[in-house]
Amino acid sequence: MTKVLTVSVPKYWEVAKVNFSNSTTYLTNVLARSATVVIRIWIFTQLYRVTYAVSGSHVIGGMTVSMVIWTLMFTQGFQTATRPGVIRLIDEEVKSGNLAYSLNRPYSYLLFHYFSHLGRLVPILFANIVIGILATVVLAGPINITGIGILAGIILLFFGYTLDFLISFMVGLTAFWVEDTSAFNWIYQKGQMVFGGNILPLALFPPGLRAIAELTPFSQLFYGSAQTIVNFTMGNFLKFLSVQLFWVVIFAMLAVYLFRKGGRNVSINGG
Amino acid sequence: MDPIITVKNLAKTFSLKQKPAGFTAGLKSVFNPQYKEIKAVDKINFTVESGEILAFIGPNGAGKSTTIKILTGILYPTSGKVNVLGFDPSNERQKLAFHIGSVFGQKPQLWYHLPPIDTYNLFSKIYELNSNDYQNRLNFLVDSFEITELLKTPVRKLSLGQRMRCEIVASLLHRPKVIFLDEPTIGLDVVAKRQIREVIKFLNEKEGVTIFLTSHDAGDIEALSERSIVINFGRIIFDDTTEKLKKNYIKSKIVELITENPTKDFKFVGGKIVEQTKYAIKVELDTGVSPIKKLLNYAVKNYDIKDINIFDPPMEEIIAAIYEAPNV
Repeated sequence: MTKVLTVSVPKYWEVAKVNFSNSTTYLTNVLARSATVVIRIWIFTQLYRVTYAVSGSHVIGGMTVSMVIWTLMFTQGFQTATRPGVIRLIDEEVKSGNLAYSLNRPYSYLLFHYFSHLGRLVPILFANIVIGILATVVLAGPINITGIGILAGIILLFFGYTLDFLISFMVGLTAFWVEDTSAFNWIYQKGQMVFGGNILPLALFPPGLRAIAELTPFSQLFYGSAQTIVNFTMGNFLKFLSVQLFWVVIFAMLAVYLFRKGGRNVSINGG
Repeated sequence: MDPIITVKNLAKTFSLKQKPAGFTAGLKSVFNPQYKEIKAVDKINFTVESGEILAFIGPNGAGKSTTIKILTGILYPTSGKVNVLGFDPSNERQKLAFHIGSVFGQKPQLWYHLPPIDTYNLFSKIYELNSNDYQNRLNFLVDSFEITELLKTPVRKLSLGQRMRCEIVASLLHRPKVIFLDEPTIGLDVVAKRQIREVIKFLNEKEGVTIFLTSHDAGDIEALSERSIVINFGRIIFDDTTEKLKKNYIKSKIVELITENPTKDFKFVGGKIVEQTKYAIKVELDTGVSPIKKLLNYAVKNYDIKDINIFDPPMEEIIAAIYEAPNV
């Protein structure tokens, strides 16, 4: 097996650029998809206003209603930018036989997909966040976000996307062994729904459950970044970053191992 | 001269899960799955010399694509030895990739929504080409393959023939020494097929590129290759000159005549009618005995001809002829 991590920056930069261009081909589609965030923010705003009113508190777990809505907007905006997901793309590549081309080039298969993923998601992320911010200002009102919070959030977001890619890459690679990866994909999606802060920010969890949830890889994908942007504390940032890096290293090793094992299992369809 | 491709006792076996019919049998198979061993390639041996155009042919499922994928390092062989340009494809796939090109007719490598030039620019970086070299090479290929007008058109808007020409250019940017073409003419019309065949000939004659071509279109082989290997059920059943293959096994042509007047009184001696409708007739000719010209003369003399199509015999017939030959 050839090296999995052959680093050549211009090569992968170009891969990201082509995927970026490809993503922007249908700009109206991207904008229309991003616009659905307005509906979600409106629903969350109604839901959490009632919840807070019933509880009689203005602040729960250090978060006001507006902060909750902003956190959810960022978490969902970050997460939905990853679609179409890496799992589906790799699964299709293995099943359709297009793997014949992507394996047959002088680059690392893993890095090729990683940079493709980053290039693909940037325009969608940009649209999601711009529309999301406008909608949240109107529906939930503005909050105070600091420059350092944004910077720290961007760092966590970068590693969050890396972690999401590595997990998705591994799940996609299971297509080398199983006929259908959708069961694994389902588990990953549901893990994110429960522990990823997509619907309920972890700050609102009971303390014990919150501590556990914050150690899972699911919360390190997008919630850590969103929470850090909305409610920055250096302690939380460093905690998120260290847990996140731990999972990135673990999943990077597993992804490389799985790819090496899977490479011997390639049985390209239609050939 | 040493061969640039050497294949010794190459075998590739796949395990295919068997799905029995019915609910109970299906349930049983969950706990006790049954697998069937498929020998896609069964201990084959051959070599390819530099500058050759080799036709590697056989019917669907014969093992052609599996062999190409092993030669390019995508699949691992079950047993046997393979050497391509001094590399072991399974263990040196990335190094080998700099020196070979491939086109899989049914699988696009160009970005579907982007113009071909974007994919070419990407490949120039992937293959680590110097930018001046790349520009010169691109200009040369664009002129040679007459794709100037197509460069900036999104791939999705190209015809299949235009797309195939652009696909082949993508595989040539890095000046590969060997190019693997897996069914490059599949699904193309007559004109596009001819264009692709001309391009392949050009590559071989002007650039000395070794061509490893798989096809189940006998026309590709007749038009292009000097040597042919026929593979069936994973085994090589013929490895000799294409001339010999044509002379001994591709003896027939099928001529289809579409007429303005009814074909019911068609009485041509020297051909076998394989299909006949009121205004169309298909005749199989043994070209060694009855030249096509003779049939056309008869047809023009007796009918108002609206259209004529000439087909090669299907690969299955050629295979059958090889098996029926006394020396096999």
